[in-house]
Amino acid sequence: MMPEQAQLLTQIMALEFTAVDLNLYLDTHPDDQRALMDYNSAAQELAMLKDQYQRRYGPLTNYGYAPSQYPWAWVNDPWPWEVSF
Amino acid sequence: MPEDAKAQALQQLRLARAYVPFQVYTTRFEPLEALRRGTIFPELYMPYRPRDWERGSSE
Repeated sequence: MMPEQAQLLTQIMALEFTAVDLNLYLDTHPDDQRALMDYNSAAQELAMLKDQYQRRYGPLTNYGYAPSQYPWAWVNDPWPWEVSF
Repeated sequence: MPEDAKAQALQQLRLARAYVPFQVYTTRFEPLEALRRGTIFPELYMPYRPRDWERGSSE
């Protein structure tokens, strides 16, 4: 069984991929309401999971895309790409 | 065929045209399954299958 952090990160990557692929589809099918609904619910769930991850394990990104707890958390190990699966 | 006739014939050829059917959204893979397959769309999942010689088979 995967550690919880890696599992949550995997869910985030998977959902982000779903959002990107729906994004690409919608670029050429802007009037597809069902795809748009699926995109919006994927985006909403993705935001929720990222928020959950960042509260527990620290920021996923820097440069102002995620708030940080005290003390400044971006310097903490492991960085998102260092999480082992 | 003489060279000038060949050149003339080539000039009359039309450029190639590509046709792509318009995709219709039906179902999609679950997020983890999609990540593994590289697409959320079942109709676009077309993996290349390794051939025998690529598998190192002696058959």
